[in-house]
Amino acid sequence: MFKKNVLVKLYILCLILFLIALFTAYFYTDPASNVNNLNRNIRPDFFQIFFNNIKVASLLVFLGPLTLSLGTIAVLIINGFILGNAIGNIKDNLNLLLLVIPHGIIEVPVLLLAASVGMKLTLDLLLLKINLKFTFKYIGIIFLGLMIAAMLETFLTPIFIKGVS
Amino acid sequence: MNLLLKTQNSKAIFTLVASGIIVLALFSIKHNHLSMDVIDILNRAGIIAPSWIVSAITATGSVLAIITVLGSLGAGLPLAVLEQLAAASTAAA
Repeated sequence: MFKKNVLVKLYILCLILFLIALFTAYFYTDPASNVNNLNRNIRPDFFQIFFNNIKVASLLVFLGPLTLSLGTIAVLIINGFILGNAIGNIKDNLNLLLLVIPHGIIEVPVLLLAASVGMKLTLDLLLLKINLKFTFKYIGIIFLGLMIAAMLETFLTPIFIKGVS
Repeated sequence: MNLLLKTQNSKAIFTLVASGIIVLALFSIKHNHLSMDVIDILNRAGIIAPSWIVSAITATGSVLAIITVLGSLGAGLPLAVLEQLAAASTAAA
């Protein structure tokens, strides 16, 4: 119960950091002029997406114990800026959010979960109260979440590109 | 008490070593970038035009992250944890 409470608090902290980065990039980004010239022949590669996301999630988790969570926060903020920039680019045509939301709705919470697990691992290490079972359980959830998100991005999201204008 | 401390010591060392190995392996992958593929489709559709703020922050962030990792592998947190373990062992003895 105590461990879960700490994880929830860390999750909220990660969410706040992520949103600050996202909105900063959003407000400082001008809409892109080439929104109407969409390349509609997109074939996302499941394995490329999945392994890239696994790599980033692993960095978020395992940079924590090595860098007092500074590396985790850096990667989290970088992702917030990149997503904020993308949404800023399409702020005059928010229909295009349909190309982000179907998989992003799983991918972003999993990203935040990975960051909070990384911070929790740091905290456990400093307090010498490591619970590897707890950590592995959440790594499993992250793995599963990223697999579902990659499937959605590969098979579902491209369908929406035909509908957006 | 000693047994509990010993178990926690080995878990702490395992966590540090495993994290170090995984992070070094990840940083050795070619074409390494630190962002998830949330906006991959927008990128492929040719929409994203990186703004100066993202370019600046991602460049600074990536360099900082790598420096922090390399620095901490040498000393930093691993050393702090090992010192803590040594102090705990002395106290238990």
